[in-house]
Amino acid sequence: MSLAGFGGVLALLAAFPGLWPWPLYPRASPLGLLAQHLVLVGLSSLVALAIGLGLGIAVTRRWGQAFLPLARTLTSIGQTFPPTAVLILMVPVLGFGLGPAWVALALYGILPVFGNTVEALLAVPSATRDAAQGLGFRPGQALWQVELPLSRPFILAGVRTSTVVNVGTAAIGAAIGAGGLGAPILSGLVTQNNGFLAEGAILAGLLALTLDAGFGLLGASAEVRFKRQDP
Amino acid sequence: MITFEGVSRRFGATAALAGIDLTLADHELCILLGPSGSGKSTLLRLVNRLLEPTSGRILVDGRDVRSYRPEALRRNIGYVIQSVGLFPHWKVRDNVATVPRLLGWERGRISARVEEVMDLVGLPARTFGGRYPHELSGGEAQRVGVARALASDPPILLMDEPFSAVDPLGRHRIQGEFLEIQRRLKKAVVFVTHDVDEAVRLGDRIALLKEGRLVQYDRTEVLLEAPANPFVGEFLGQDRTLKRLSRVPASTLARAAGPGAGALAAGAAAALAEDLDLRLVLSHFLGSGTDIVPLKNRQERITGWLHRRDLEAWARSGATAP
Amino acid sequence: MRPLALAAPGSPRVDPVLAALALAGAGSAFLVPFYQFAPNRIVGGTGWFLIPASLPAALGLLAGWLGIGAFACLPPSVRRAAAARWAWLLVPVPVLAALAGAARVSWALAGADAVARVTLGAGFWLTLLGALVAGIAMPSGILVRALGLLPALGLGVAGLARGWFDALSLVREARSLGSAFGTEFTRHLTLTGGAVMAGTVLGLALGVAAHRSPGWRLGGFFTLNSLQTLPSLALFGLLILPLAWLSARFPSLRAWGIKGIGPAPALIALSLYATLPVARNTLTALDEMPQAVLDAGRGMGMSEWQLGLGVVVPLAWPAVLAGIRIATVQTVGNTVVAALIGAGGLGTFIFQGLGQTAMDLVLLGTLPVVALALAADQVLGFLSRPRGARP
Repeated sequence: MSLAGFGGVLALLAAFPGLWPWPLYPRASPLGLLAQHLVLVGLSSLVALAIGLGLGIAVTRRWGQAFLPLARTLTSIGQTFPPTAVLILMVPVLGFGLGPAWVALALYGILPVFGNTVEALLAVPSATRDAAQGLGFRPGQALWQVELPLSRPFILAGVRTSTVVNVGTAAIGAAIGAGGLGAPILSGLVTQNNGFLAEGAILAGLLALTLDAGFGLLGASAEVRFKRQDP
Repeated sequence: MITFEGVSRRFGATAALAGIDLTLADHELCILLGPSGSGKSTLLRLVNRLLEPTSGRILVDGRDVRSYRPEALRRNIGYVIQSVGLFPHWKVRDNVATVPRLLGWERGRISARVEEVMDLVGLPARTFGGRYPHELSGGEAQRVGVARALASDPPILLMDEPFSAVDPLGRHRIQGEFLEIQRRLKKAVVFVTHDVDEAVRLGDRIALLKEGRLVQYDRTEVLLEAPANPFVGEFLGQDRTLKRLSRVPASTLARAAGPGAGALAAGAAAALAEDLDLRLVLSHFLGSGTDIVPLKNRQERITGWLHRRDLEAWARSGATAP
Repeated sequence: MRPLALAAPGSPRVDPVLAALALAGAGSAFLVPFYQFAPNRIVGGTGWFLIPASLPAALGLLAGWLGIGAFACLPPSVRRAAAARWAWLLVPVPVLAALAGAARVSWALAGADAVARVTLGAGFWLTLLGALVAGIAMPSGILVRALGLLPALGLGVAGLARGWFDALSLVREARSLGSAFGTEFTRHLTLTGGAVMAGTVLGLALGVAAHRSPGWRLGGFFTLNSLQTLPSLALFGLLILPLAWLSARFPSLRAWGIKGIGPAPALIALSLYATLPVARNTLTALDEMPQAVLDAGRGMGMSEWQLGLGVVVPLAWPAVLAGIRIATVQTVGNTVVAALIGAGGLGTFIFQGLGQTAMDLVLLGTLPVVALALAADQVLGFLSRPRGARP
């Protein structure tokens, strides 16, 4: 329900500039800004999902186990880094623009996905894995048909965290020239134009709320708890 | 037929199994019995290659198990474990259908087989098929586990303490039901347990293991009558004679029905079911102080008489059941 | 979390992580520029590699990394021995070498040329990063870490004080800022500290309320979750508007420093963000309080107050502290954005530097923020480690 609410208002405001009671940011249409922001967040989240999921699987297989403790420590340290800092630190390395912002978002987004994938896969009951192997699943089949479906809610929760945080970080990306909904906000702050400020802030807020509600609908559950099996 | 030839298995410095030579016959239920740490689960897992031996080899139907691809081998051997390991995200019928699906059966054949095998374990597919594992009781879950193992109709069944986690009452029931199933299907079953009563009740043969070595392997009656050494005797318990009695139905020793046969005699109320085991008959004799008891069949008709002295003679003689 | 049941025990023959790090680290001495030299602000920098720049430093670096590589190749049983902890002392060696190289380069330039710039290059930062990873991967103990870190810290601090690094552009930039750095740093700390304190109070209150009442539980957390979802920049912006309106309506508020932009909206937003982790952890701690312990306490005749202070608080405290830890780390990062709305803090340097394309200014803002976040995390993590038997 909240998805419909937030999403609906977002879509309306973006698509119909006339609805806004004050003059809007001239450089791009609300829809254009939204699209820029979505591209930035969407693509980086996809990459974060692919890499985070892949690494999470690798590190919980027998051959990748050596890296598990280190990977977990690095993840928790990495998540201590403020996402803004990661974004800013891209500039000396990669310069300004959409590309560096995209890289920063993808890098930072890997962490929650990876962390949740590992915890969820490790939580699959060993009896289930033993049964799967004993019944004759190939390792790849067991992963695809048993382990991953059981881990899905928690992995999705990681993608949800990663995506929602990225919406916020992408807004700051405007400061390094990535465009998006942060541009009117920054412009509004600099020129003391509250209209631009409100436009960017409202759209960005609605976008974050919409995406969050969407993930909730997809079944992202923050609990790693499998339906209890009687012993 | 399963053969272990000089099988050993080490974990680091410890030898879990040492020099096991054992041949298990088809269509029989063979118990792997022993205290914890005796290597019985290890031995079981060598058959479907969940473990590999450090030395020696395992033959199934004359072929070394290593000549099969592991998945192909496992899809043709049923596997039941203590914690069941049902897939929580699949309905019961999908759990049961796991191996047929892996084998690529076509859909109609799979659903027919799922129904058949769920009826076999006493959980009609119509009621239970659509449920999820977390909605089942312990006994029901393990029945589904057995059904899942039988779904592809494998010739061999490996069972690792399958009923230990079920409550005692349910365990007794499910053991009885499994005996019935085995009587009908006559699979080659390898059954691991540490419970002597369970072993005596279910097993055609028992292989007793201690610290990775085979101590004695023979038909259950032989083990009970003639334990090879004090360890076997102690492990099986001081009530071995009673255990032997528990495997024999009363009808075995019944004498011909004399006068009053076929009729509902006055003492019919005191008659015992003819398939009751001799241990319970002895209990009746001790409690009632009588020396003779009529036996009745399902239709409440007298079919014979059991004399206490026959029972005691049998117990003393050590004759194996016919 | 139990290890995979199907895995074979024991470590691999050669530690792959340390070996890879050692290889990369040793290679960096030759392949990656450690310092960038530019004759003036107009011309771009040319990379200086460690070898020509400072041979002793290069040798030190190689020695450190090769030492770590050798450790990686030792048999697993040796690597796990208690004495293996001392090998951790190898970790600061590449860092020391890089610092020494920087000092050497800076000496060479000191006094000679006020316009030429030397910046720390990729090699330097990668060495720090690699040492961080190696420091985690190698076995260690508290004593060894202290012993190992002391020389590096000492060299850094002493060098700064005695002007060994003065020719580095980073240091020059810092000096030109003068007291402004200290001011903004303090502001950053004040904002973070204030927000965390306010957030803790609010979070505790909400956590308790939510535990007692389903209404508060649903409503309170829905609001907080929605707030948390909002991008910080957006929330700051949205708060500016009503605050600006309020301060226009009630000029007395201006005396308090509440205007449209400035610290006020920042503090409010930061406090709101800090509330959720504390509230969530408080609620979980209260929910999972073992009933048996409370019953025992009551049965012994404790009053509700005694029960609360003597039993509930100590049991709940670790979880609450963990929530405060999360809130603090998050807030340190969020405060950076506050600079954009005129609240000050280290973000000021970051965004100024971005505007002027002065990377040194950017680094002067970013590095302390990262260091603060890591330090807060380590310190609070140390304080909240579980003590005694868990109930």
